[in-house]
Amino acid sequence: MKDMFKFICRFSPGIILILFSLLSCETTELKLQDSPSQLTVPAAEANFVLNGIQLNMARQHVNLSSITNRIVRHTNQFGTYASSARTSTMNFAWARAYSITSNLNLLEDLSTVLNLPNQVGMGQVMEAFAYVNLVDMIGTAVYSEAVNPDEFPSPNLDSGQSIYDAMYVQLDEAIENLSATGSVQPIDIFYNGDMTRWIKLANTLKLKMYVTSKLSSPNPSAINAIVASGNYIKEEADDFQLYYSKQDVNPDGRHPFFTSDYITSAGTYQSNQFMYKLRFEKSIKDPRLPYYFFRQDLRHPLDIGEELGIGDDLLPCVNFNYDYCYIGDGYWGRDHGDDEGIPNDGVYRTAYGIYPGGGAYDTGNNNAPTVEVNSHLRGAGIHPMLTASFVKFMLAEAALPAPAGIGTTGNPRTLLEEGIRASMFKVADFSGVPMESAAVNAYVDVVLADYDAAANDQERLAIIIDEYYIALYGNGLEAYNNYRRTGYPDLQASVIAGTAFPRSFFLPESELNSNDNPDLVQKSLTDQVFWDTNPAGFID
Amino acid sequence: MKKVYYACLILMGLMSSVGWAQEKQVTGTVFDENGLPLPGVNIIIEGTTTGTQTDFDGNYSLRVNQGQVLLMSFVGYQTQSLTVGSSDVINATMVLDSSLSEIVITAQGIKREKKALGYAVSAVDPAVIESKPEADVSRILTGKVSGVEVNAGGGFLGSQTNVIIRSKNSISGSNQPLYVVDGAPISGGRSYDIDGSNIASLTVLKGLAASTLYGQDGRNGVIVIETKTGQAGASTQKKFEVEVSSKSSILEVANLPEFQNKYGQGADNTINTTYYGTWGAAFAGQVVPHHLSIVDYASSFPEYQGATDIYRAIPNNVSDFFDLGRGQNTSVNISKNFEGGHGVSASVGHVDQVGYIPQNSLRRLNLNFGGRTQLSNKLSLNTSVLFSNVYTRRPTRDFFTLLTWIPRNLDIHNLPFEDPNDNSSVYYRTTQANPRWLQKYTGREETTDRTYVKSDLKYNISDKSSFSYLYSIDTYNEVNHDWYNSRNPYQEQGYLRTFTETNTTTNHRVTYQHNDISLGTDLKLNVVLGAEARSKNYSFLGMFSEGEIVFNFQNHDNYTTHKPIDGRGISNTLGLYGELRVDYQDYAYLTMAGRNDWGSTPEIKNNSLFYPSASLALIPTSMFEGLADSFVDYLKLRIGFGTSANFPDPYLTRLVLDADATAFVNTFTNNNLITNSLSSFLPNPDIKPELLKEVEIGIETKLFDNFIDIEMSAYKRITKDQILSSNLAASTGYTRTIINAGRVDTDGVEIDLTLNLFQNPGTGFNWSINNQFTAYETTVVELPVDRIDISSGLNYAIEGEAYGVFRGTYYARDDEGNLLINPETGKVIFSDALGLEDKILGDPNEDWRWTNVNTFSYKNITLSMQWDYIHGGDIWSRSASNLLRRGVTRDTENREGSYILPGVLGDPNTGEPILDANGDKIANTIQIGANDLYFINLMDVDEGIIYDASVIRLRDISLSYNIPGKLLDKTPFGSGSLTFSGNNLWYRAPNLPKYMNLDPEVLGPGADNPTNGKGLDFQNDPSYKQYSLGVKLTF
Repeated sequence: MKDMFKFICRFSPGIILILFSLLSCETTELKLQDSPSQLTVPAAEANFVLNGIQLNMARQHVNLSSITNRIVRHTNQFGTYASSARTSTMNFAWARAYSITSNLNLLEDLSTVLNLPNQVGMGQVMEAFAYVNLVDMIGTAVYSEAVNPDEFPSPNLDSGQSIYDAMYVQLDEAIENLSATGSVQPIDIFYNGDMTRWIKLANTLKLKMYVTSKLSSPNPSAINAIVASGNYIKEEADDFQLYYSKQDVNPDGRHPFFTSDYITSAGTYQSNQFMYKLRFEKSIKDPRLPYYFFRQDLRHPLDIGEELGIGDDLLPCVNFNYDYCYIGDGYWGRDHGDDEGIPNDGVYRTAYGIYPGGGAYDTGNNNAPTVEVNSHLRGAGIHPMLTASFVKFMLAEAALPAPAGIGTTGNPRTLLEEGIRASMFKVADFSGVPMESAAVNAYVDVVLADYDAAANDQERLAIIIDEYYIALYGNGLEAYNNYRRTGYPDLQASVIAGTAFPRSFFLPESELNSNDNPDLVQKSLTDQVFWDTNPAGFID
Repeated sequence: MKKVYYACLILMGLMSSVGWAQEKQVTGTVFDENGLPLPGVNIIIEGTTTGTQTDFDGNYSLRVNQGQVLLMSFVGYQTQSLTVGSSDVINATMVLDSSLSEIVITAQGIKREKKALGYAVSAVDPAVIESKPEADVSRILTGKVSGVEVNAGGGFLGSQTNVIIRSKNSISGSNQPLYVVDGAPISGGRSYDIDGSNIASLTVLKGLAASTLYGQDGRNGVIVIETKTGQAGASTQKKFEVEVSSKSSILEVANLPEFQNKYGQGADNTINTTYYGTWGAAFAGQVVPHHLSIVDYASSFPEYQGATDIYRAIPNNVSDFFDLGRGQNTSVNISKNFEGGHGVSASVGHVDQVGYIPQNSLRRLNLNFGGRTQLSNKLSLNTSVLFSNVYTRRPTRDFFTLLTWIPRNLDIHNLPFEDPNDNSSVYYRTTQANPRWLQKYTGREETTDRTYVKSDLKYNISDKSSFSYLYSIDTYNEVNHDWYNSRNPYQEQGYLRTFTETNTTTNHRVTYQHNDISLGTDLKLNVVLGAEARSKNYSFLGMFSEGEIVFNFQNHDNYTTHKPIDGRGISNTLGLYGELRVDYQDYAYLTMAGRNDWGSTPEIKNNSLFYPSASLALIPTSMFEGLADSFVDYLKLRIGFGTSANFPDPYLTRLVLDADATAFVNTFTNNNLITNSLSSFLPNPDIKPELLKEVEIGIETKLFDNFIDIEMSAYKRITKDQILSSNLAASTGYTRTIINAGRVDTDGVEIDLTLNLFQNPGTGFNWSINNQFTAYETTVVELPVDRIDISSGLNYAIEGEAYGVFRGTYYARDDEGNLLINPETGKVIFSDALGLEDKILGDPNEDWRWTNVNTFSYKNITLSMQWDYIHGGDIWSRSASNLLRRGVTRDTENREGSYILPGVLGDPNTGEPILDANGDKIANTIQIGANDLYFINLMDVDEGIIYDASVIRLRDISLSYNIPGKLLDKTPFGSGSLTFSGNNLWYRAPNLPKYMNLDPEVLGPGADNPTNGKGLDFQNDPSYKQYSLGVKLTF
């Protein structure tokens, strides 16, 4: 026993060392650089990468629409333009574009192995759309030095014009890719994998760009070529739009209009002017009115206030004599710029309707707060980006003789009528609530009578853009482009002392804060994008 | 600390005692420093438990063997050791102990005399920790050690604290210190797992020269804790002891704002009882609609439809949310020591506290065991096992964001807050959840089981050299539950999130020590060589469910959809280290150390870093005869140079994909859409560990017979090639990356100055004043990019600026500094509306802090009082923004007049001043109301809500009474004490809005939110004050 102790004692250091090496081997491994919790790049699944690009593209468009909806008075703007166009306002849309590019690069890498021309082509179309949106909103973007951090850690901006030019080329390349046959069928949330429709979209996007830049670089022959090909968005099934669903959780796939207005109570103010335009401006009601807006309460807000014993608390604008304040017939939103305190009117004010947000159709009977209404689409709305009706209006504008249009082929009057009818058809068809054809016809007649009575092409252009503006509800981005390009429709001024109309938005603060390029300096909200050659102060 | 010293001596004594056995009777007298006999001196024979005490005349008598060593000890004196020679009479003179031979624990558990250290080390009296009712050891450290800064994340019990030792140095990495318990590192910063009653010693190693051997985890300072149970067997003097302590406390909210009670809801002096803001008319008993006269509630509360109410103040509508909290802290510690260096110890601690709202509570159970045994003459085993179970609960913090600015006329406690039919939230604003509903139907629970096991096998090769192997594992399972019921406007679906966070730190260490190698008579060498393998393993595993089915039942089966929570990672560090100390006589001590680490987080090519340190301590009072006889009792000069490493976090070198299995819904297939996207983080395969360097000089002195005691350190720390988490321009395709670049320097000074005004140890009146002064400045010296966002887009690192300066939006001004006023509205124009770049607006770092502790004692009574003052340091306050904006505090009570903002008219589009016909600027003359001033205007830019947060605070007062031995003679108790204390009793921050009573100490993201933010007030839970009564008995 004693000897054993001696033995142990003598060799203790050795024993300790052996113990150390035995016990510690799991702690001595130093090759642990791959995270056990994240996918490595070679594991990327092409269709999932494509779907990421699709969501980025759609979310950019939705984001920009929600910003511009307020500026163009599709919904109420609370406060000044300066508060709607902050230095951070473009952060999200900007980042989405570059995420598309970096994932498109990945998709192209994967394609060299797997042959994925369709996925790449789709990605190219969406990338082009995203950059065009940045140029339209900001006037410029990083393009030629984008997404190359090793070579260009502080990239330079490109001019809007050069990006437009590059996108025309890219869209042609995309069309080639979309026409090829690949090895993997795409998963596609827009066209369910129908490549012919993607090709139509690519052509239509070009068409839109030509119309948008009609002042700076008119190109009627390019438009005529597309029209002649017939290969563009012409019918509802071709519409490029994001489909929302009624799934409410994990993920929440519902339209933001619906989540804003149908869950706790209405959280958005509609624009008084826009509702007035549909309800009272023409001699007859716009047939889309009950689809666009849902009145929670048909009573006059002051009557409700009286009943509740709170007087005019629900309608602060009566104290300020604002232009519209309460427009009548239960339609009740806010005037442009109204920044008075917000009363507890969430269950009374007018809410988003069935189109495009998937809310409720306003029957005019038994109207009730949105939270108590059951007959709605539960948020399964759409976000319209480029639709057949929009294309008709674009072509109508382009077909007007210069300088109002650029004299492309087609009859503007016919195209205007087709645009209106396509819009009405889509609204009704989407909603599943039939629209009386008599009402549609009557409406078309009124507009065409106005059109026929117009004194000149400018007045005709005003009518075309006004109808386009109504059809665009939900897509503020195109309305914002139209307004800057044509000055139409003639919109209500802010009811409060405002700031100048933003002819473009600020460069995103996130980029300025992290891009050390000294040439990157903030621009002004009154700077005009390259295709906006109209005079300063021409719109407000 | 002394126990440890004894243990060493005893061990050494054991080894040398073999072969001597001539017993005889020795007598003698022990004198004090003045030559007077000293009664009650403990005398024991080294290596045994045999001993005696001197009698009233200082005499003793003992049977002892020749060659054995007598150890004489008495409180306040140095221990004398005298070898028994041929003489039968051994007299001794005790020397006053002015901490000269204090033993402190340095890196890797190496024990050294404090005087031999070339760097700053501070020990905290464990009695201070023990007497506080606070469950979190870190919170008690506030103001106890110079250079240590403690911030609580909020006033909820169980909020994690943020401890910073000697400033933050890393821009993107952790700045939290390392906690070492019984010689081994523990995981993370959950300092509230530690049982404060079981702490035998707490030492803070501040600088790099002190912590080099701990490796990279020690770079932010080290808090070294020795537990009582971990000391089992260390002292043979106390054979059997039981210690019982109990503390009862109450607590109350400390910083509610002072509300105005003149005006109620509305705007512009007009009543509107549906508004958030209280800018309505003055209260005059007006009849107004009832708050719940809302059509939504027509069916549930028909009685309120069309009902009216009187418009009046409800002064206590906020304070009524708060109650008295209470706490009970109990611990029992048992230890038994045996002859021959064996011992066992066990303790049980129990804490049960309820915060200032009943939904906030903390319960903790600690079970601690320790044992030491001598396996053979040379082989010993020392084991410490600590177990804790901690439960905390609180409601969601959303509760507080609304609570403090509810309208002054809202009688919230006498109105229903839930629908009697379906429990949905009922509030005067249907778009907000009622705070009472949130208090009841949301919650967050955390239950943590933590086990720490350390075993230390030590082999004494000779009496001077030893070899040891230490193994430790510290693992905690934190089970998190947080839930938000449905039926409220914030979380329509309701959710339940449950996940277990497991953190395990395993440590293996082998050490070889060789002490007292004599090179001639004057020179001695001490050598330590060691190797260490440390592994940190973490995982999260759990589930997030949405879509509550049955209201208020928290089980995942009660939800319609589920999403997994899953993540894990591992990082290993291997280290080799060595330390060489050269002692020259008893006045010069040179220590040189170095460590090389290999880490698993960088790529292999960059995984090694060597970092050395050196320090020198000189004691002139021992060096020059006679110096000590003048007014200087003791003088030590020290200089240290230290380095340390910081390895990058794991998984930053390789590109990964973000995958989302539920990104959206594909309406063609009705399946969830899956996405794979490149991560927006750009990895850096070249990332390497960063090197920190620090030079420290110090002076320690005692003057005028111990009247003045000063310890002073000054240091400069340089962190180069920082591992920076840098934002990338989104246009590069990535938004974040990690780089090695930049340099941060800290210059700092720490002074501890104690004045012993009256010194009558034992019997008379004692009064000492301890002052601690801490000042430092951390500057970003080099940065390769324009700026780095440190926290929340508010704290930034910018070259040439202090660490963490505030940068944000501001009021537009002309070139002369006049405010630019919008000529149409009379309001200030904001920088961001003009697209102006943000600018630096303030510095959240304090200029200096000073703590003053007065301690009075007379006989058995001790009274102490601690004041803290912090000078400078800005805060960005969301509380100020919300409270002033809503007009609820007395700060905005004066409001019926109109205001003209001083400034000149400016163009709101260009930001240029508007000029009159003569080309002169036009002074603003536009009147605006207080409502516009505060609501729309002053609070909307960052500049408007940044304040200087200087604060003076009465941190605590405590009164304790030691029960005299006479009274305990006939009881089983050996000693007993009573302590009454009050904490955080009063504070004043003179430059904050007066009536907001904002406490700058509960600001900022705590370690719950491990960012390096500073001075950020996101409307945290308010702080509390606490009163307690403690009893401690031993028998």
